[in-house]
Amino acid sequence: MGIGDFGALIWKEVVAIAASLLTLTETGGTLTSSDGELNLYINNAPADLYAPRGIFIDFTAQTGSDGATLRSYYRVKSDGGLILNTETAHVGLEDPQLVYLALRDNRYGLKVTLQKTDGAVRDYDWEVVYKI
Amino acid sequence: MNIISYDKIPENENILFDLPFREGVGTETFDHAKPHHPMTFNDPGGGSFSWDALASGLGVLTFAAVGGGPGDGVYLDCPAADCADLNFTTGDFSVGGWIKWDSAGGFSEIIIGRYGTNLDGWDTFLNISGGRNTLSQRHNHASLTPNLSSQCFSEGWIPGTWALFGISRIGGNLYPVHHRNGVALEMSYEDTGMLDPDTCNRDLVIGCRNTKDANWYRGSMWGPRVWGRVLAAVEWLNIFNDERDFFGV
Repeated sequence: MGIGDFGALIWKEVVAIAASLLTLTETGGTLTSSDGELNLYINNAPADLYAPRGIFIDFTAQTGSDGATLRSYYRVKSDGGLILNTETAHVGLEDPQLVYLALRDNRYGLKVTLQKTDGAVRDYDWEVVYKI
Repeated sequence: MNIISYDKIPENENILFDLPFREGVGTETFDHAKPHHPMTFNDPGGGSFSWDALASGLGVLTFAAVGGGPGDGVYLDCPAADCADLNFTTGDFSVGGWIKWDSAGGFSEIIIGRYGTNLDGWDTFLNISGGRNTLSQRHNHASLTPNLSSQCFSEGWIPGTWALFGISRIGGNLYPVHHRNGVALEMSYEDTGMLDPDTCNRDLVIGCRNTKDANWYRGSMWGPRVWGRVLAAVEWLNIFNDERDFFGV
């Protein structure tokens, strides 16, 4: 094997390592709740298997007379529907105010939703971190 | 599992705005740069959005317009108060993303801008320009009347073909450079060169004129991005090489 062949091998290893790197990425926003179920975060059709870590939802604006339900859904097969995975009721004042929902590795799509169940419309800041 | 942080990727240094359109459905899309600029989908009536998947599996956003009149297209916008960091005047900035435009309308198609025509701010648009298929960059500066705006353009942006556009503007330099697929292009400039945009307090728009009633973008788009610095040519090339396989380019 000549020097050039070794160089090619090394380069292939470098490229393979670079390609294996997942990028830790973040996004977020503010959702104004409603009586209807609204998407907080959705990745409906990932291009590849990806690893969402979790989502923070800020319940600071929610008062003692408010309530909201947080749900997560996953699609577990190609062309399948988004299936309910978790559902938690958050009634009244949240303590601590920042709620964290762990998310699962996923290939076909997921969404997290919030729906007002009691009280007034409120703003919920949220942030999701994932590796892609 | 090896991980690199989005913010540590060299090309993402000082990135201010990034829409990778990962949502795939519905009427929300989220900025992946730190400022989290809130974006709104707007459908005045005639046009439509669609979320489409490329052969690679990458999801893109398609803007469809039924004509050139008011209400014939669709657009995204961000309120002025929520994008003051995109108010570029004397300083450096860069703008880029993947486009596959459709020239069938025969009118200028705004890609992205934060501007008032011949008033203030900056914008970018495509036009068939008699077959030259130009990407134009415009700086609007009513304070310099009678020179209300300055423009430059690059050619060869073929409709129906995916391409990465990249604009690098050095503050104080009159000659920004456009890049296509990571390669710097020959430019045409006005005699004055590109003068500084006037300060602007208007909504960011993607896909329409600043008045939100014309110059509809027609076609698909992915990853429109804005930086508060100048991207070097090698950085545009790196971005192109990192992403080209998704677009079959």
